[in-house]
Amino acid sequence: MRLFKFYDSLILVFSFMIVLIASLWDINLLDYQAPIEHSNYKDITLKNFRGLNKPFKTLDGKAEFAFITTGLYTYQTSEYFEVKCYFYPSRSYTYKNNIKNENELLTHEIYHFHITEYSARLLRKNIFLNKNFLSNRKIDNIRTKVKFTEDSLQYLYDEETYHSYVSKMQIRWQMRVDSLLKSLEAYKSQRIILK
Amino acid sequence: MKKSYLLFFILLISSTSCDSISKKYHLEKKYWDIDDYSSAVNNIKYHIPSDEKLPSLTDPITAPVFKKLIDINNIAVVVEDTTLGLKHRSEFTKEMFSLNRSITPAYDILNSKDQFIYGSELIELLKLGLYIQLYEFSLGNKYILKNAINNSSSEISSVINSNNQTVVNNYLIYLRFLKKEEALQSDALKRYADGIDTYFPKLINSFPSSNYTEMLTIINANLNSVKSIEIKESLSKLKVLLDEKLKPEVKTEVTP
Repeated sequence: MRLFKFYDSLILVFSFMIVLIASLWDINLLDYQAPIEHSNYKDITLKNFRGLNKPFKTLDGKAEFAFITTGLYTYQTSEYFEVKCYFYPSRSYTYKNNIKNENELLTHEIYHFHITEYSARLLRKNIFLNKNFLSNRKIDNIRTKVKFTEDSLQYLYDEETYHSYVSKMQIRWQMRVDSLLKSLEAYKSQRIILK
Repeated sequence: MKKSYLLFFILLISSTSCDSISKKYHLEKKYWDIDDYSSAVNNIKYHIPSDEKLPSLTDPITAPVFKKLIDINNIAVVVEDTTLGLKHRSEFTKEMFSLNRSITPAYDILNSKDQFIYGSELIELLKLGLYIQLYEFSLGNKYILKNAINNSSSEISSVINSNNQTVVNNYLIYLRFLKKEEALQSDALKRYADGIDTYFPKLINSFPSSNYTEMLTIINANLNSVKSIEIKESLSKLKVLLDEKLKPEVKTEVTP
């Protein structure tokens, strides 16, 4: 009985350790940095990419790549609806720091962040346009549509620029994303006043 | 029942084999860069046992590897992109041509009947070389002119003229290859003719000031000796183009 308890505890500790180690590949808590808001995007360098790459994870067979994790945080009261756009340093990864095309790589990743900011503005716009008919279901529908738009843009961006390898397409996309952001300049502010 | 097991086993083996080839040669990548090319060339040259076949156009498992090896999109995506630096593009073509020259001899093998084992593949590699050289020399010249203190100096002109003639002389190697016509199968001969139709007019267009007299001599000699109808037609078209180019200019007097 005592032996059984010992093995139970051992398995429990072992499982906990495995979960803890595995979670580091999702968020690198050993080199944690708080999320950065989009308004501070100019401060971001490749050194802010502090995440870890999952073992054996490659980009089309190549180990030399970077990825950025961005996301939206929403908060709602009866008076306002807030959408914040974040870059998560400890969940973003680059394969090494001193690479030849550091600026090009950073620019490519930052434009992923800009696309997320565009989706934040799109979400604010749709919330604002529907502010008199807002229900939880309506908000969920808007979120889903905006998320779909963002995912499609992010996918197309990587596909057409081939992760920044196709220089002329990278420049074309930069202009496209800049104009998308400009088109929703009116929704730059994080809060939408509902009343 | 046994048959279905066997079928499953064969499918399993072939799928794992395709998967490993795909990973080994980075086939998931949309474009191969220099590292991918270099890795593929090394794999083909040094890591395929002598009793195994090289990646070829006829083998369904390895055909994607060879098609990727001769895919001009891998090169066009860099050399035709004017947003990239001239030096970068020029160096890219140099390295690509060096890799192309390095892999070509691996496919230059004759069987016991003096026929090329990889005739079509060999011709496709030579054609890729023709494509790369068009850009290697034109980008190289542009880079020289861009960095020259005096563009019109005799020294610069001499280098540019020498480059313009080198690329034409390199193209002659492709025409001289016709001496090996009998070692090529019909598919390879068609591919060869396509090489003349596709790249030689581009060469003449890109390097109009080069001397094409020797090219015309070789074409005339080949037209007498070559047997393939497709190649004869291609050579004849090229001859017309060169005759037109080499025709002495007729000076017309303008009366007031």
